[in-house]
Amino acid sequence: MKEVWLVEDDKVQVFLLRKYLEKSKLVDNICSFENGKLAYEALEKRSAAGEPFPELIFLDINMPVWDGWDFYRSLQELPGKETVVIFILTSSLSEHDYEQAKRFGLNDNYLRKPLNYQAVETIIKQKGNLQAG
Amino acid sequence: MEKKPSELIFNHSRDLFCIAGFDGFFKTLNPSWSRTLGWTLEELLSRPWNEFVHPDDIDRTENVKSEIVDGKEVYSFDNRYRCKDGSYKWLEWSSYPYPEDGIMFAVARDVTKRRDDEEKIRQSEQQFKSLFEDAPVSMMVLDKDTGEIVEANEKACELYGINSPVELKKIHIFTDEPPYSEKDALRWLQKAVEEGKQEIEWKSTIGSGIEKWQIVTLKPINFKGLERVLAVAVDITARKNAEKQFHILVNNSYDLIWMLRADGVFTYASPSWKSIFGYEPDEVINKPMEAFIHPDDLSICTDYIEEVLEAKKITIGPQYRVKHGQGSWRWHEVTMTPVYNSRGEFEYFVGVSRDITEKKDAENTLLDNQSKLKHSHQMMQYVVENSNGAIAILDSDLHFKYVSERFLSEYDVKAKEIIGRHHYDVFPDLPQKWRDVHQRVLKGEILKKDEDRYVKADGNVDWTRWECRPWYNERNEIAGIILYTEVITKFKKSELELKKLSLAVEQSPASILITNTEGVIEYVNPKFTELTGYTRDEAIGNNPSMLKSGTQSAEFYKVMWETITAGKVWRGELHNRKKNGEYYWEDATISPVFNSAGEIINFLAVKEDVTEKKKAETKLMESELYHRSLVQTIPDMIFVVSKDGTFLDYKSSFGHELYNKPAEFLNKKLTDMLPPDVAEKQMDAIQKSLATKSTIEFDYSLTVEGSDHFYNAKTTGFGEDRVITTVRDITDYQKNLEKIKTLLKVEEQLSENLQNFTHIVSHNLRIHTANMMGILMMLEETDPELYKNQFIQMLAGSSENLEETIRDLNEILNIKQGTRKDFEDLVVQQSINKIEEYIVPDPKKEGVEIINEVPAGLTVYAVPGYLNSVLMNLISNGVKYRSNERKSWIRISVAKCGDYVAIKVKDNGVGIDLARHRDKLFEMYRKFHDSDSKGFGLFITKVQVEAMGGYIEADSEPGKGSTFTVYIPNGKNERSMVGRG
Repeated sequence: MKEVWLVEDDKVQVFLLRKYLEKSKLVDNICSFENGKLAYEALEKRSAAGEPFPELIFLDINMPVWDGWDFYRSLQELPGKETVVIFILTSSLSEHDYEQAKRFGLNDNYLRKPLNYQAVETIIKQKGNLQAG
Repeated sequence: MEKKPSELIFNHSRDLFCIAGFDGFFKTLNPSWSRTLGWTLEELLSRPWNEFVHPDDIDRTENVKSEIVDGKEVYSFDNRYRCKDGSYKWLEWSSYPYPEDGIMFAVARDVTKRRDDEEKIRQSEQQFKSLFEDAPVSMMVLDKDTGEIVEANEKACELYGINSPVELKKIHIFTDEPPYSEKDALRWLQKAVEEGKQEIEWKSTIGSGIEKWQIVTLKPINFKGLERVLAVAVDITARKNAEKQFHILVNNSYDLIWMLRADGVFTYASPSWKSIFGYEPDEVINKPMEAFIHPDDLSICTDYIEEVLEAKKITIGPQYRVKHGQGSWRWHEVTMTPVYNSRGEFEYFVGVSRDITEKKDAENTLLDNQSKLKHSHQMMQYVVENSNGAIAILDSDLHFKYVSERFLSEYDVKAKEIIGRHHYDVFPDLPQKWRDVHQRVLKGEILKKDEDRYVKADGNVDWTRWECRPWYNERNEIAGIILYTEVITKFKKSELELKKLSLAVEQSPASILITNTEGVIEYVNPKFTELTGYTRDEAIGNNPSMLKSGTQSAEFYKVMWETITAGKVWRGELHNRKKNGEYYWEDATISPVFNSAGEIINFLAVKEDVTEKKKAETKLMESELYHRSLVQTIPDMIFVVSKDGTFLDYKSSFGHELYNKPAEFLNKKLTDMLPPDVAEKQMDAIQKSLATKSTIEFDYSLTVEGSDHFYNAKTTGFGEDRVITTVRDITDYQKNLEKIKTLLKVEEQLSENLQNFTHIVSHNLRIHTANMMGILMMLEETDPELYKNQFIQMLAGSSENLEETIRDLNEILNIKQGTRKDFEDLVVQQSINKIEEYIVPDPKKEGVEIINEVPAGLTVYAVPGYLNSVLMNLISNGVKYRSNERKSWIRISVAKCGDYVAIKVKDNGVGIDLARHRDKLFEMYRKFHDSDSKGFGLFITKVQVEAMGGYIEADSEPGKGSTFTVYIPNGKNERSMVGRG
């Protein structure tokens, strides 16, 4: 897998996730963004330049500026959005958030923090296989 | 000087010693002589002894003396000696002669007493013998032990048909004859000996072999020195036979035989009473004769008794009526004899009575026949003349011999014109039909028609009944014909009427009953039967009082009876009772029915069951009362207002200050009484409610005593041109509403705060715990050695606890926010099994038995996540707080409880002191045990149960265990989550 993005404002989470991804040696490039707006703008640029999107994005919900949902909604406007797989990764225990994810069809891609290594590896492997196949 | 023994005996013996000379003089005498006879010895010695001997005994004495003189010893010779007082004494002698000295030695003994006794016995035996032998009754002497005959007299021989008394000897007087056995006989003998007398009735066949009945009297006697029993037998065979004959007679008699006391009470009744008269004799005995005799005949019977008592002999009695055992009255004829006892006192009557009903009937018939005969001619004449029909008698040539008056008038002819003339001459136009009829009748046929329709010349229809039959002379030949014709048009019409009427009566929806003038029911229609349950047969012959409920007074019935017997119609309501005991009301009209003579012949009652009507009336009354009291209870003011806005009626309010006295509104226009805006609103409401036939509601306000009052008015159309307006003072409500609005605002604010709090918990707090846990997780993976460090472990524990707390808190918030959850049918047993599986590996669970008593198929309509969580919580609580003092168990059972399904989780654990904790049991952050609980469990459980529309109850006792019962609403009712976000 070439590229995985982390859209996450919490530095500890970015640190932990980055560590696991590096450990797996399955991802070539890892980028992180502090909020949804920054991530979107980066994607927008890529889209305009005709560059490929990352294969996988771990998306936090509660973030300043643009939250996860703002990002996700905007993403739907971008051409090439099909090429990216979004995983919600949140510390929220709110039913409300889960219901929202469901509405976006993300209920199977809804993860709660914290993730252990095993979980991260499984997700990367599955996604890699998916794309390879 | 000593005396010799012989001398002593001589002097003192009671015997008389003597030496006497053959010369007839005593020579020596001992003193006993003087003591016995009273003479001095000198007196006795001085005279020849013969002078002392009884003159009757001198010859015998001389003879004995001669024998002694001849040298013979004489013993046991008796003679009598005269005493000085003139009496005699018997002496028994023993003498020894001494011929050589010319003397004899003799000893005498005084035997007077013995001789007297002997004489007495002899005389007595003589008497008994003659008595026994010659007695006019049969006598026998019996062995007291065996009953054998020892002696018998002539009469006894006669009784038993035997020639000589000797033949009777050794025979048992008591032969074994039923009904008594020889054993009985021996017992009687013994009893006779013991008690001195015994009398028995006995049948024997001894001797001749003929049955002989006897009364035997047994008496103990001394017979010839032996204890015997004397039997005196009286032959009662003849009496017995007579009795037997009497019994046969009585038992087989066609007469009634009876005994009657002077007071008219029966003491005996023959068995023939049963066969002839229908009474068991026992039913008659001890009953007075009044019980049987017809009341009208009682006096002649008592007169008859007097008569018999006076006549003192058999007297033929009267004829009278008696009630047969089957209930019918029979004529009896009686003969009675008075019976007197031996003292001539009256004892009882013996009577014989005989059923003569048939004889009497026959007599009556005979009488009837005679009188009938006498009147028959007269009657025939009468019948013929008064018959509704016209009668004509014709001879075999069809010449008129006789015509009735009716015939003459009917056919408008005169007797002298037609008698002797030919029928067809008189009526030449007679149709062929009739001519044929005449010919057939002359050949012996009887022709008739009950209803013959024919159209008259004027076109009207007449109905006739006619009959034509031959009549015979004494030689039994047809001598002519008899014609009978009757116009029955009127009758026919009334019959049709009657048919209609009776059909109407039969099918009448009213129950109809007809009684005779005494009130005995003669007719009831089917409706009567249907209503009362009494069949026609049960009713007819009975009295209408059979229906009386007993709730109406005797006076009531009296008035009714008086009305109808006075010939007037009675109308009223009767409260009656059916056969099955059910009460009912009927509206009755009872009318007398008169005959043509104006006499009442029947009463006709037409009655209608008005029970339902009555009930409805009562109900209506009750309902009216109910509504009235309901209206009175309503605190609202109620006005009735006409279409044009005039107040018609009102009901006042209470507890409120009033704008005006409601009475003031009456008959006034509301535009005059109320402010224009209110009046306008009300007028609008009146029109709308009448037009739409619905309730129109509006609010308005009035100033009452300086302050604003708010009202709510509801107007409903009532008929075509009126409305009812209900006015409620809602001033207080309005004021409260303001308060509530304020409160709601506060509530909203609080709610918003809660939302914010939720957000904080769910996101901001959670971020940090998630981070802490993430870091620790990574540490465990990358540096397991460091992770095991005591401080790190403590940190890990704390973060886990914090995480758990936040999760619980979040769970509660999720429920409270009312996030919609889906209900589904949940198989409770399976849920519990899953929980058990989950808990089983838990080492803490060890030793706790989970008893799942929930039926396999039972489902509850619930939110699976919640219910599972609830059960999980309760069961794991049971495990957690088990008692170490006993074998632990948790029992889960289900019961239906009204609209709820109650799931009961019961354990025998340490329990909770509910007296102290009940209020706080289900509150947040409550801990009741010194354990690792954070006190969320029961709070979450409660919240979840309530979210499903249910509730939870706890029951516990420290040291005994706890029971939690979760009530989940039964069935898939419209139900949504209960939440107060």
